[in-house]
Amino acid sequence: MRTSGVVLALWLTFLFPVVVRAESNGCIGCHIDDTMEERARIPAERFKDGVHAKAGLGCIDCHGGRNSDEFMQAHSRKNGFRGKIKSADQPEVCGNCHDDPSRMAGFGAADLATGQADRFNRSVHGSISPVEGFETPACTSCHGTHGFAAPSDESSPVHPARVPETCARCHSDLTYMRAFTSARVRVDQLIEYRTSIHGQRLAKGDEKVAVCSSCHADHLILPASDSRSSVHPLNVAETCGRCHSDPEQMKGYEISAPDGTSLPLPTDQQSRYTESVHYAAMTENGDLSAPTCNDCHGNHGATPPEVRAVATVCAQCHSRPAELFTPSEIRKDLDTAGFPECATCHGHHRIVPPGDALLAGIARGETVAGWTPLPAYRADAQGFLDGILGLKARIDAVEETVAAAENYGMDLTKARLELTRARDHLIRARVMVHAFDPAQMMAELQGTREEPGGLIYAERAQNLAELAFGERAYRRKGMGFALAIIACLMVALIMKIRRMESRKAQPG
Amino acid sequence: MDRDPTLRSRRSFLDMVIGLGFTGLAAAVLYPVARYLIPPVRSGPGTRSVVLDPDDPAQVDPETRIFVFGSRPGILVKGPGGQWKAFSAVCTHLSCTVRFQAESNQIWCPCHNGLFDLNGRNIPGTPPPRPLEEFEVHEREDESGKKTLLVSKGRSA
Ligand code: FES
Repeated sequence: MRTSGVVLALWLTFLFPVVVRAESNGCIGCHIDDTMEERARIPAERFKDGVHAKAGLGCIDCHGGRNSDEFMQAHSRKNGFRGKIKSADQPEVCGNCHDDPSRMAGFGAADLATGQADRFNRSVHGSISPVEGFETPACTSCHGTHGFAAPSDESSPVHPARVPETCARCHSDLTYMRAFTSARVRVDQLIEYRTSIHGQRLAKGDEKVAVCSSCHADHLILPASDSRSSVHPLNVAETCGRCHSDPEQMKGYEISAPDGTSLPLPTDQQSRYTESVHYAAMTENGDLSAPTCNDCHGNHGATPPEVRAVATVCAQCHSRPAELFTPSEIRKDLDTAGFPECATCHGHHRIVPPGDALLAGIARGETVAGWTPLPAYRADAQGFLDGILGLKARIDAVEETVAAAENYGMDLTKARLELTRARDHLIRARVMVHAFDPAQMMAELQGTREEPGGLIYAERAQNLAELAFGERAYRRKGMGFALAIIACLMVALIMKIRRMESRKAQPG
Repeated sequence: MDRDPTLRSRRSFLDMVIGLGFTGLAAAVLYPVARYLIPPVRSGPGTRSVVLDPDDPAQVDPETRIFVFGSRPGILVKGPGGQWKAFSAVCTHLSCTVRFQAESNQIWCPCHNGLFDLNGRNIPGTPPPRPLEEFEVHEREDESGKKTLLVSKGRSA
């Protein structure tokens, strides 16, 4: 009796569940059971609702082992059971199907993109070296585990509405981020994003707006310093343009005009930007610090600058014009009229090199933004233009004289230095336009009591060149004089020789 | 003996002309030679080096730290480590003359507020796209123990 009691107990403990499970269905059958501890049960519950279960996949397709009701069979390493899939192994395991178009087609997912694991392996996430105590990012870090859903499904962590939070799980965690990157790493991207137009609209349920992956790519995420990255300075305009240049995508979005009315959001920013001086500075001169979209609009906190903030944005780099423009009268007038400060004359996106033609336009009463300057401003503009062109013409003329003198072998080092100073003032006069103040302009051109202006320096150079010419004339005269003396000497010598010869001929 | 006095005076006049001629010739030949040889060595655009006394205000402006390097301005500053550094003072933005700015301990271009650090590197976010051209500086001591600097264009420049 005692023996049969023990047998019963053993049977109840071990064999009874097997019998029960034998009626159900492999891994899921056991794992879904209420008696199963949570960490083993929840995956099974989630899995049966996911896309993989629907495609006919089972646990063993990822975890290995046997789809058996018998514990040892199911979990035997000999049968390839691997348990939890380590981060480092995930790209390979997932890539087995997701990098193989024919396999994907076999699951009825022929229209699904492939190659994600391969792209991930080449990304910044895929090349992180493991750090003790921290899990490196892999497929499941973003896509979740077991209950995989399509990104279009709201339950997916990579559904557009959830992408920012998903990325922020790591990227807003300073301890985690510091484990893998430099101590200066940023972790405020999500906070900034929420202040952006994109983030604000996303919060209101607009799923068309850009989220992290729209700009940073999804699997092949590369650091901005990598020239292949979609957020490398040279590629930013193209990246933003993928949405902002697409009329279909931008349909329904509006921007407010200076007069307070709303206009449809334009889609020509990228094409206009590529004609700008900024784009040329970056692409032709290789100056990667030249601005692209995010330098004026912000990146994570992207938002169009308010009309009155334009000067502040431009001043980030153009601090000297801003210094002159900020306290000026013309700025106040523009603000009152609701015109976008710098952009009134220089335009936006397609900002062309500023030149004398721009000033001539203002003198004629024309500006890019359609503002009509008061007659006094027009007269000032004409005065500035005349002054600048006058100084330029003077410098050119002096330069010619100096070059001519140098051609004669004269040393014009000092004249060249004065010309350099004159040219400095010409450049400064062009910047001085931003103050729109005739007195300050005069100081650059003519000079003040304390500091000479461009014209004075040009004059000094001219005088030095003339001195050099004077010296040359003097040397020429000297040369002529010397030649005359030589000629006289020769004549006298010839006469002397003749005389001596005639004396020798008639002795006595 | 020559008895004809007119002939004699003609002859002595001729001798005088010859004498004067030789003197003039010597002067005319020697003057340009001297004039070409004695003046200071030409310091045109091809200048490759200059010797400076960093404390002489006539050579290095005490405020702007500008000196003359050939026909272009140069700038002499004490680098971050206290060593002398010399650069071309031609801004890499639109070629204005830069100067030392004591308040910020930087090199500043007054035209568009371009900034360079004391290593001549352009500060990002200011207009200049490239660092200033750097010159080589060698400290030397003359016989009297006076320190001067030999500033020269680098071999690569
Ligand atoms: S010329 Fe130096 S900043 Fe523009």
